[in-house]
Amino acid sequence: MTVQLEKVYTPSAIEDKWYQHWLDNGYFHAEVNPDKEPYTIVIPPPNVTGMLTMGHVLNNTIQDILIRKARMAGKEACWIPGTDHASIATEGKVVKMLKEQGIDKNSLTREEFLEHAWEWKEKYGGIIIQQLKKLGCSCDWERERFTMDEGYSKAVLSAFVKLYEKGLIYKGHRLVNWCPVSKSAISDEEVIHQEVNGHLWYFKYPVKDNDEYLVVATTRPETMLGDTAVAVHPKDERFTHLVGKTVTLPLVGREIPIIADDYVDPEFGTGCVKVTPAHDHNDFAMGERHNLEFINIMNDDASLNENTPEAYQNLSREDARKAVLKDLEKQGFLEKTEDYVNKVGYSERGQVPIEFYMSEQWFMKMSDLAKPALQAVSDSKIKFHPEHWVKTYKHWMENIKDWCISRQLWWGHQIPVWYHRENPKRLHVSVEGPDDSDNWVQDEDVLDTWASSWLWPIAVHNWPDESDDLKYFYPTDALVTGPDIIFFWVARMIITGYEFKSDLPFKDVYFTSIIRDKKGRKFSKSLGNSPDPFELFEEYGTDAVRFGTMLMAPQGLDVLFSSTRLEVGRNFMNKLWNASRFVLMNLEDGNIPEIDLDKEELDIPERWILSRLQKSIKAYNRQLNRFHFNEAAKVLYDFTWNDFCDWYIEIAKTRFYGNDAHAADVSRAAAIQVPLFLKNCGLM
Amino acid sequence: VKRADDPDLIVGQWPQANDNKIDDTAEKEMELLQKIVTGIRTVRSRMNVPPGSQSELIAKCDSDMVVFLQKHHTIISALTQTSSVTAGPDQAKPEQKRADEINGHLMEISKKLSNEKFISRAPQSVVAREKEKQEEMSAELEKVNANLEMLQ
Repeated sequence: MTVQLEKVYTPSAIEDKWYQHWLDNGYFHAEVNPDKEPYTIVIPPPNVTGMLTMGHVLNNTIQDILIRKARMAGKEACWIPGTDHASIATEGKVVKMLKEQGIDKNSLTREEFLEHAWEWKEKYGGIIIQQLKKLGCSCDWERERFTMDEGYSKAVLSAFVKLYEKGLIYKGHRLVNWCPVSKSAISDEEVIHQEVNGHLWYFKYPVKDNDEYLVVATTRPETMLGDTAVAVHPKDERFTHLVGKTVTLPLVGREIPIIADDYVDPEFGTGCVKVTPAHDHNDFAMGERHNLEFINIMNDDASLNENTPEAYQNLSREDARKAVLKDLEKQGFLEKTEDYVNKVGYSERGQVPIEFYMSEQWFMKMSDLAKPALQAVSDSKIKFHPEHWVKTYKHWMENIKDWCISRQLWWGHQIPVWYHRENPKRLHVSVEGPDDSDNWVQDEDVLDTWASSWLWPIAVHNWPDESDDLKYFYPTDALVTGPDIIFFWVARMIITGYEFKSDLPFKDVYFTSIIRDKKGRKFSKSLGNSPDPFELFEEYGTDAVRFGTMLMAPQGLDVLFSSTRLEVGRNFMNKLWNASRFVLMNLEDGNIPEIDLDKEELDIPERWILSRLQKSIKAYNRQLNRFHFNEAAKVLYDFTWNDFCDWYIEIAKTRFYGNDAHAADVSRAAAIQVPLFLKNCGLM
Repeated sequence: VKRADDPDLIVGQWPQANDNKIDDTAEKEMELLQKIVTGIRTVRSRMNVPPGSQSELIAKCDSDMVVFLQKHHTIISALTQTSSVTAGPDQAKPEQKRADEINGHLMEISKKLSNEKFISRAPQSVVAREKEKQEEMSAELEKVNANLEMLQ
């Protein structure tokens, strides 16, 4: 007996019922099984603060198709889920929550703050896991991990210790990207450059013991308080006679040298450049070349500090700018002002301009680590889909810089370095910490979040323990992720794969499209153009949304989101339902006839539909194997809609309602093959 | 769609194609059948045949096609709402005969209507009847010619 279908398709009841049934039966769970070939996917762990977006729908539907295909093809399919502690994002949320409760983070000890943070995480974190279940993801939920759970943390700290012992991690007083809101260093990738209409101000710096003055131009007047030189090009004859002399820095009164450096472009501006080594990358380099003083003029919130004249101390950088300009003008040092379009780096999290800020940070030497990871992609051991991302990857890996891995936050993996109380130059670096802990103080900083998620494919199996799971499920098979984190995450996982396991972490990387609105704009909360997936699930049905999303996402191209495609998805689901229902209704007593189609002398329509079915299966598998999910969805759509519903079902009616009982049975046996295929195709 | 003894679909068997069932001959034949059905539907639509009503199918074709049409008669009939099929190489003949007849009649009528004596002497009702006949036959000729065109 087959199951009969309701007249009207009601997606949510059916989806919820079967998802629960699958969970109850443990179908998503995988175990080490030497008789089967493993197939593993690790989910890109969403931020624990995250909520499901259409980007997640796209990404996780693709992963679900791949894992279901593997599972149904007889492999031990393991899709490992989890969440990322998202250091800076979560800390921001907790600080905000505390503020709403009238608690200032600075009034808490680290331990107190972390208690609040864990409480927040338990209460609000991980909603996205429930949302992924609603999307129908067949993850092995028994293996859910969190990048700050005990085993995972051990892996993160172990990696630090191993790399430190190899001499690849060092502490340096360097210029870093600084977010004045989160009061932390941030990576280059967390800096978003935006064009800003600003000004170029020209100042006069008087030459000491001389009537001459040099004119310098800047977009950041307040930084002049930290100038320690003025530079000109060595061959610029206009200034040769001044090199070696000094100028008196207006407002400050400091005497600073005039230096000659090839970096200066004599054709640009006045040919004279103010040098602020502690607040600009190029000036930092000049400062090192000429042994200049590095004067940090800012506090960690970008207000001005005690290294500036008293009048400017504790002013915000914006107020300090106004004050400096006013004073320069008053004292006759402001020559002119021009309009200027400037590219300003903004902190992705803090949404304010970043500062280049001198601070003591931990860095990781990347060039040697990157070599095997670069080779693996160049040799196609790891394949990128679409392939054009290889070029971007190679360019970055060939020019990789040292990575600033420390963050001035509390929520995260505290750096496993201890300083001896009596001699802070004596360090202890280990996972467990020193035995005589009272004599030591641990480094205050935490690791960059990516310095934990870069271990995801191995740490989910509690590396560095060599467990059976790690041996069996690693390397993983496919990684499905957004191209925006190719450096943050993908490249670094390849690095750790080779560094710690001497093997690639995954064989294929599928970079998803970016979903945009009809006007081509990226979805964003502030634009209010991002649809809520749950409203769409409600309106169209989850399978319809999954199917529609697959239809609209060609490999390598941005997706213009259209609800029309979701309507196509919904119509398709209804068509499928009605066609299946029709076939089932016409089975005698609900039984599929005991007919061996291989032994029957079939008529043309039956031979045709079975042939079309085989070709569609082939095309469907081919498209999935080359990661062309939209093409795969189209194969299903065209076959079901055109061949099966428009033609074969119409023909089958002549059999079902005709006089030849045997022909009717043959037709029933043939017709049922199509719904049986469609239900097993993993897409819905 | 689930048989009682089927595994749940999430752990069912991944579809694999059976090459033995790929049948290019059947696909070719089906393609022809689809073309015929689509063709008939187009003609019905062009001639404004109401969806529910049956029509006769007259096809001028070679003997192979006659066999084909006979073989798939049930399907064609069901999918195109054609009640009967007449097929053969000479299917244009009856239509041509009818066209010739109409043309003959129309010529006669035309002669009458251009004869001033007839117009002035014959009762008005008779003249009106002739004009009516002329219109009816012209309309029929148009359809017959359209059919003929399709059967050429």
